[in-house]
Amino acid sequence: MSVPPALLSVAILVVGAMVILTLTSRLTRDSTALGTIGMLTLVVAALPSVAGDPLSQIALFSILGAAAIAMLLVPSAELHVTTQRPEVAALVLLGSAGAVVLATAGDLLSAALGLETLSLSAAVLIGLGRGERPLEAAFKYFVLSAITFAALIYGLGLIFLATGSFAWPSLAQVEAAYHWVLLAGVMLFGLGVSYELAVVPLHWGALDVYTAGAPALAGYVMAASKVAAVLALGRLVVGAGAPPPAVLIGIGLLSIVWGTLGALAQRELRRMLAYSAVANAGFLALALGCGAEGRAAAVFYVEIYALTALLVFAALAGRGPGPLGLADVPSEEWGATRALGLALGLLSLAGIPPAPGFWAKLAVLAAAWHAAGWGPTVVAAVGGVAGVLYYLRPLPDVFAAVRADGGGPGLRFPAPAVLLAGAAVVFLGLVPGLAYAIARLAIG
Amino acid sequence: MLVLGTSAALLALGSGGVLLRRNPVAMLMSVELMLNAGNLLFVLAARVRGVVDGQAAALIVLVVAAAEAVVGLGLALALFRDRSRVDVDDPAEVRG
Amino acid sequence: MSGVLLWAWALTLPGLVLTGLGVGRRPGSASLAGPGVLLVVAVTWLLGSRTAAELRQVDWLPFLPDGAFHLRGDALAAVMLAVLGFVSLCVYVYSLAYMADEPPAGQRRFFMYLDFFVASMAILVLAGNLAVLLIGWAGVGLASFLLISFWLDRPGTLGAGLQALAANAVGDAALLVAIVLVPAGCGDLLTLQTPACLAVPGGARLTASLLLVAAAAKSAQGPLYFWLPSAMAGPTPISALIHAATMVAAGVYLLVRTNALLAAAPPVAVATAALGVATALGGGLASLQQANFKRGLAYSTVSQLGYMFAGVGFGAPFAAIFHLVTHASFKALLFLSAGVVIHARDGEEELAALGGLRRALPGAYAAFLVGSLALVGLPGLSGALSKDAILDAGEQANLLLAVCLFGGTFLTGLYIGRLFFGVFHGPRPDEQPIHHPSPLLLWPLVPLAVGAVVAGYLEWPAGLLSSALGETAGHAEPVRFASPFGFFAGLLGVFGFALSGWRGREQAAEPVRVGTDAGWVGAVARRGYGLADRLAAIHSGRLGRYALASVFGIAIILLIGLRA
Repeated sequence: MSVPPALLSVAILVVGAMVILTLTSRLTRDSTALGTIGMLTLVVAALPSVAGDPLSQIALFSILGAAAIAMLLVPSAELHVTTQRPEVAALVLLGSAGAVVLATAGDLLSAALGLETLSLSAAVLIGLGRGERPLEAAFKYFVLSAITFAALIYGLGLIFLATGSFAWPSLAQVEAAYHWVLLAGVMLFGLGVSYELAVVPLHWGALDVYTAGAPALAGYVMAASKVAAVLALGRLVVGAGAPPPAVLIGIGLLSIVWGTLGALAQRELRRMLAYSAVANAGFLALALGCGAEGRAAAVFYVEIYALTALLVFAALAGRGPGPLGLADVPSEEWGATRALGLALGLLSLAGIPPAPGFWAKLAVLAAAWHAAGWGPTVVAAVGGVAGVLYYLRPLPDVFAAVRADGGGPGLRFPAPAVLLAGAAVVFLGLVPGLAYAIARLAIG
Repeated sequence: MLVLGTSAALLALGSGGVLLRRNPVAMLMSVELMLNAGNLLFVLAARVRGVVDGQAAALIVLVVAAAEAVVGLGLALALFRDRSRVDVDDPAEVRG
Repeated sequence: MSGVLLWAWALTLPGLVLTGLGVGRRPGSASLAGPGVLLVVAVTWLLGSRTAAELRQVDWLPFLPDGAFHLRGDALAAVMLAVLGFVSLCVYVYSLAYMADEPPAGQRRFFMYLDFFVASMAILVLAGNLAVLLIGWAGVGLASFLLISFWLDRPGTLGAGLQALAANAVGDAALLVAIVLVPAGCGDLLTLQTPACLAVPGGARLTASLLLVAAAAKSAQGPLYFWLPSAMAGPTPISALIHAATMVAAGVYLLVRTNALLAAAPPVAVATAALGVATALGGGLASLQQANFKRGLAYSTVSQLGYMFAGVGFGAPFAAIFHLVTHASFKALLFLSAGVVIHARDGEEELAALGGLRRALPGAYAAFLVGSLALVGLPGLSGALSKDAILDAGEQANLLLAVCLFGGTFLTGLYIGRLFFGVFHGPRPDEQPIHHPSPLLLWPLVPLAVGAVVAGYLEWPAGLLSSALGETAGHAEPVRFASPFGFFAGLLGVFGFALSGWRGREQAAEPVRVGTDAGWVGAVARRGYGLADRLAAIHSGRLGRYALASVFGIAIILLIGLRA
């Protein structure tokens, strides 16, 4: 009996988490060993992807890659209770398992389980950060995710009622009388998954998490949840008929406008990045609604976006979950690695070529033009370029603040994570065709 | 059809509870109500379609709901431990 | 040799790295080689066999209609690169002295930004298709932003940089839409006018209009002019290089490169000409109202770019490029000599505080005079020949607009005379000390002055420039030394210049009638940010509200989806 590679990876991740949790007392004192075990688990879990199909490969590469970058930062993340560090590592592994399940599940019920695993892990992960703000953000995120999950389950029930099975639905196979039931079910399920994507009107909790969580953990949650959500939604939309893609386009445009306006109003870097995440989620939703070309563009975009977000958050790691005002950027202690990593990330997010974020936006615009015509293309183009007004604003200060001495001893640790993420971003910038081809294969 | 109506009513009741109650535990209870509305649908569909998957799904969802409740109550406890008023609208430091 | 041209964009990158690592006795001296080699490469190519080189890597971006990595090194690119290399070499040397008071890290940063700019501008002119063009386009916009806001501790520089970004963004959006809407395989800048590539709803007019918007944003034409005067907040060498000679000319370059497309859409050509003329006159009038030395020059740039746009709109892209080349010389000369004055007076830029400097700064005086005369079109100087070409073309294409441009030369004389006589003649307004300019500030003025005088003779009488360019800049009418129309325009300009001198220095420091350069820009920005603030305020932090919004959102989306 052949085991799907994704399932094997999930099993390895869960085993790794169990090992960490068993050895908690030992690992609390030895964070290097903790990091090592965590990385080892991730590497081993990535091995089955060699024999897998493109979808599993993309899912595993992105999600485990994100987890790896986060794992590099776990040994020094700012936690409320520092003895809980092993739990944090275990949660990263479990959350990744949930994300992989959501992305590659063979049926809707498994996808729902993966979603909930990811969601719960993320909520607790954020809640473990230092201070009151992360806890508040985690709680709000959790409650809103619970409400949305309940809607998702109801939708799942409707789908089951209409089709009699939990397989990914196809409108063609359902009797006419049950069409609206299936449609309602698909939309509720899709909205439930969109919660992870952080689109309007479900973005409230995610916004707070990205603002107030410990940077390393917030970046991981952002990356993993968006990748998994895009892959799941991509498969959901395939057989669902006409209304869902139109709904996605509408939600996408709304989120682009909302996120861009919100980001413009911000004077604090973390919250600005959070709103920009909503705008980027809008691009993803828009792309998902634009046919096969759009779905490929969405996967391409989320790959690039997840890595870029991780790069930015890794560069911000170590400052703790407190706010970073735009006016405070020059007085921060930036080493060359962190400053350049942040700059590269901001440039990619702003869509300045040849950083890969630009290719991603172009791909979405091309798909939107062919599938949705004038209005959406122009709105997305304007929303995309308006980003320069808030992404590039801190850039002169960041460049001016580069200090050759590495920015103080306490802040040198993000360097490996920043370098890894930065290298990935640069690589994607140089060979966009390769990444796009893989994305195309993953989502037919 | 009666069952369908009941599940829709449960969903509505649960939503109402979530929106109208300010106590975190009450909100979580309302969410549980919504989840069980979905469960009802699973069982109904299993009956209508003649497959047993629905019943299995309902059991799985019950377990997930329980896990969710644990996490939620834990977070609520940690957040509201030192507060005098247990009102979800209270913690509003992250805003803007 | 022709292949080397394609890699000209990489020539300043070694300098960028070396300067960043701290190599060189003075910060930035490691970057000097870059523009020098660029100039040599471009000129060598132009003097040689002039075989065009192309580099094409298909399927680099598979999701675009034309996603090839396409570079084209032809005569037009080489001419632009020569201009870029020439002016940037002068500016680099000049900056070694001008920026010498900055801390070394700041100087290094400055030269790194400059190297990045030159590389981006080179990619822009070497681009073979829209996608690669956009790389250079966005790159120069970024470099411009970083350099405008270079002095972060001074108030207003960041705001000026953001203004430049905002205007740029409009142009970028237009280019983005153009890139995705052309049919498959159509992105090559030279084939946009073929019927296959015009098969879009809107046809040639749409594509041409989008490119016009992009060009207007980059060249500060029409309503998108507002960022250029604000950009004077940056160091003067930058004003000379980026905001006078090269980057702002990129809009003109784009229109010249795609002139066949414009020819296929006559209404857009007329609109281009009208836009250019309106901006030329408006810029001239605005310059007369400026109380700040650099802003007065900035509006002059806006106005002269209007002349170039008019040239393109008249169906004479060669004339526009000719004027671009001459303008680069004399405008950079004007700015750099203004920089000598400003540097000598410790950063003073207000006209009311400057005056009577001709004895103290004879080098700057002479240079500014030469630049002014070239600008107004004294017959025989470079500016006269190129402006003549544009006016000639206008006479044939659209007499009304050409007459307006003719009148514009009078304005030109007035405003540059006002600046010249105001700063260098008349009594000294105060006894502030004047710092003697270092030789490095003065020597770069010489080649620019020579260029301002003789650049026109590249074309008359031997037609060297047009034969070098061949058909890459469209068909070139032979240029005369002075057509009647152009000759009198030149005289009119000199008359305006002399008139402002006769009116005297006091007139120059007249209080500015309307203080707002672009008050509407501020109003738009306030409205926009106000809307953004109100949206952000919706996120009150209260979970009950969030839950309400989520549930209602889900319900509404469900209803809309089921209705459809």
